[in-house]
Amino acid sequence: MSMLDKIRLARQNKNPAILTDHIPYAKALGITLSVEDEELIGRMEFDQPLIGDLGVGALHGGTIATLLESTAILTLLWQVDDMNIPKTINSTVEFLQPGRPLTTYATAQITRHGRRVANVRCTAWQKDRATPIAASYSHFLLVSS
Amino acid sequence: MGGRLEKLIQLSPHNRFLDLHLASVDGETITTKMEYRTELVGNPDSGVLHGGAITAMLDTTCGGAVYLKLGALTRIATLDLRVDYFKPSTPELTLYSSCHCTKLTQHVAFVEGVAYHLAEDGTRNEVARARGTFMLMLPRPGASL
Repeated sequence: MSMLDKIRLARQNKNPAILTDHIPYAKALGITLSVEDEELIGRMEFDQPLIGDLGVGALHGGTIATLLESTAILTLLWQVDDMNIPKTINSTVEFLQPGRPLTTYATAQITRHGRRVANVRCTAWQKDRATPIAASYSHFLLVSS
Repeated sequence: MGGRLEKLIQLSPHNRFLDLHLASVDGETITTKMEYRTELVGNPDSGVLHGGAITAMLDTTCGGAVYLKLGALTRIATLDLRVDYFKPSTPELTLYSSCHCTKLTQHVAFVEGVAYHLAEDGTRNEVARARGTFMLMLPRPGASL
């Protein structure tokens, strides 16, 4: 089954969790998705291989960036009908707090959805949603290759 | 310096997960390499690497470029990282990344980097470019902004 078929199936079953199972790097990082109050939430369970800085026990910035980018792409696929897998044009991640050895959450807002480009903003947090640990803004190309 | 940088890279559990290694140091440029692995894939249909894996590699290598310029182990933290994706990575090929610190001030380091595959004739096929800013957590005496 192609990725697009899996996306259709996940949308039909209203079960986004199966999407991350098919993205090897997201799966390796323990990233899952759930729908809470109509909002798609990305979740990354803490595990030792996510650590970037042993001295302070902080998550590797790349793992937080991966949670943000995966949440952004899957939010686009979840919200927009019959979309090809978007290609990231660029992404800027701001690291606001060290990522602690805890579960990390993320959400994405599609700030503009044009014909060819979508602009998406994401935030990631741990214990307290009001204190984000990272934020990103990205451009995605929507046309097929 | 090369041996110390490789040790520093390997201190991070996530770098070990990525199997990210120092490839070379040339002046102020640090080059790392990451072998292709299916665990790092973002789209299982095409086999291209997840953008997050490339971002993780560039984050680590940009940090290494700061240490190389500093010549000392000051704790650093990524403020932000922008990645422009030029083209999808090629499945099975090793990814390299070369980064250098363009400006070091008392508190901040500015870094640029590129991720690429190497053709047989040694030419670089650029996959992504990054620009990052890092905070130096301990001020260096005598340095000026």
